[in-house]
Amino acid sequence: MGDRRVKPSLPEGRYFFSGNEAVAEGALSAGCRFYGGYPITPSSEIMERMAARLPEFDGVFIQMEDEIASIASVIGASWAGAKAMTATSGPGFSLMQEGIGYAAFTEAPCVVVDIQRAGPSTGQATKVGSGDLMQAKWGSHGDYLPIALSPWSVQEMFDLTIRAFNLAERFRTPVFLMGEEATAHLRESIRVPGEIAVSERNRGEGPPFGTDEPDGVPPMPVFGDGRKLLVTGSTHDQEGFRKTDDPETHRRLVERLHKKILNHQDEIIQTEAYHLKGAEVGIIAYGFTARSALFAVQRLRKAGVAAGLLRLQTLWPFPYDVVESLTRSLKHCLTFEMNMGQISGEIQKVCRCPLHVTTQVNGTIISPATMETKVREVLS
Amino acid sequence: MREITQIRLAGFGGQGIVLAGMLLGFAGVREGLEVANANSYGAQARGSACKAEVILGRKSIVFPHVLTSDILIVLSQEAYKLFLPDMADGGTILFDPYHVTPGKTPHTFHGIPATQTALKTFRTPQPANIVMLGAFTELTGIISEANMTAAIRENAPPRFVDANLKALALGIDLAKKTKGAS
Repeated sequence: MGDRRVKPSLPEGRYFFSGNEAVAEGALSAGCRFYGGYPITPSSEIMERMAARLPEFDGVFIQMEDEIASIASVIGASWAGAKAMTATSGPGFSLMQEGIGYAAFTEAPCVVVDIQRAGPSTGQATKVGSGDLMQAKWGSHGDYLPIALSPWSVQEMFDLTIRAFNLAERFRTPVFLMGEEATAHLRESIRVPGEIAVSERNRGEGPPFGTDEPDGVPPMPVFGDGRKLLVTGSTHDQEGFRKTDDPETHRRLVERLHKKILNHQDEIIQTEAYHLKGAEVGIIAYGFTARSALFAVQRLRKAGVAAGLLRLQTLWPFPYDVVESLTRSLKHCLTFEMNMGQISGEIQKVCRCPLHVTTQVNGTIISPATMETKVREVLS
Repeated sequence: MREITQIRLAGFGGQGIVLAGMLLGFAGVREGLEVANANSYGAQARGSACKAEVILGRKSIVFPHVLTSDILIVLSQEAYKLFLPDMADGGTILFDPYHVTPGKTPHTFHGIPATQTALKTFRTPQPANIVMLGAFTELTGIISEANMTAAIRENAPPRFVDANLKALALGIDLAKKTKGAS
């Protein structure tokens, strides 16, 4: 996606980056010019690199006093016209939830990177986990639909950060990059292309909180454009005036915020299929776990087992249709998660074959051997 | 080299294991290879056992952690004991005899007196990690000396670049002697 071709933040070529460094370069490439954040393991290297690099792009970096202020600064920067980002981990993501709701309701495009570690609470600060996925979905109160992406490699930490900005600008909404410690601290060779496609928000005329645009995404003026502008987290009409007593205004607003995501799922949702043709057993996985799964599937295929993998790059909105369609043709579906089964619950809603869930919450990644063993158990 | 080579560097925290792994990774990228590098992180990288994993691939690397190491570069007895069971059959072990006394296993062993050489030349054991990288370069031929040199020049802490390049050359010389002896 993206309407404009631009040069990335680095010359075309091969680089050796950590996942966190790749996120920072992806953000700069997408046009991010504001970062407000508070350091937290295992995300801190994103902040370090943004602090070092943003001045080279005439951008603004602010270390805020905490994560509540971080998300608030990002929303302010967004309304001032900047592409803005913050990065954190579970405890900081928790603190940001009120602000995230405000960003969703005021339709402020922004990117929030959550490098997940083993929670709850302070948990295992340096260890991997994937337990913030339902928090990404339901973390703030009230009804809104988030967009959340799940990268599985350092290359995708770069690519999906760019995509997160494009989706944020296109749909005027916060977008979450749900990274994991294992990918954030991994170093890999990546390719930075000569050109990338970026999306810019529609700054055109028209009510900034309008309800009649065919795609549900109204134009967004910025502070300084010369228009009269009201931004409020209370229920507001198309010009931003508070209408907290009016049932119809609230209904139209909340429903439009849903429709602008639900009506564009084809544009938002991305999944990848590996060896699923003729597969009897399908693993559904995302993030780092999908790398273990692909390795296991390749080994199983070599051993004559008809196994395949569906990898979810988009977690929210959830790809229910893809999962339902796939599981109609499978004999068994397996899931592996570094949480207590958060995404498996979504799969269960539409799964058309027996579902076998494996969870692991010990702060370590799930090994390919564990997956091979489970697949063989299911088949025996 | 094979399509995927799994390398583990291990020792105790403070020996520069993580830096050596990272430099090897940078050199691998210069060599045109696919590279994945996962390390001990944070407190683990200080004191006790510390490891760096580097996978070099002529094709894309699906699973980025070392499952069985084809090459083990080891600078402590504890790390040797810990990672020996994960060695691939017929794998190669580069060890520093100052720290490691290997047992008899069906692997190819190269004893590289990296720590003693570092102490003699630099009056500190610190460059032993780079001496080992030099030996690795010479013994495996996976990475060219030119690319290893460039990786150090571009990515090692600037004030130690000259010392590290000297350490690399010493490691290459030690490995040449090892090869001559075997």
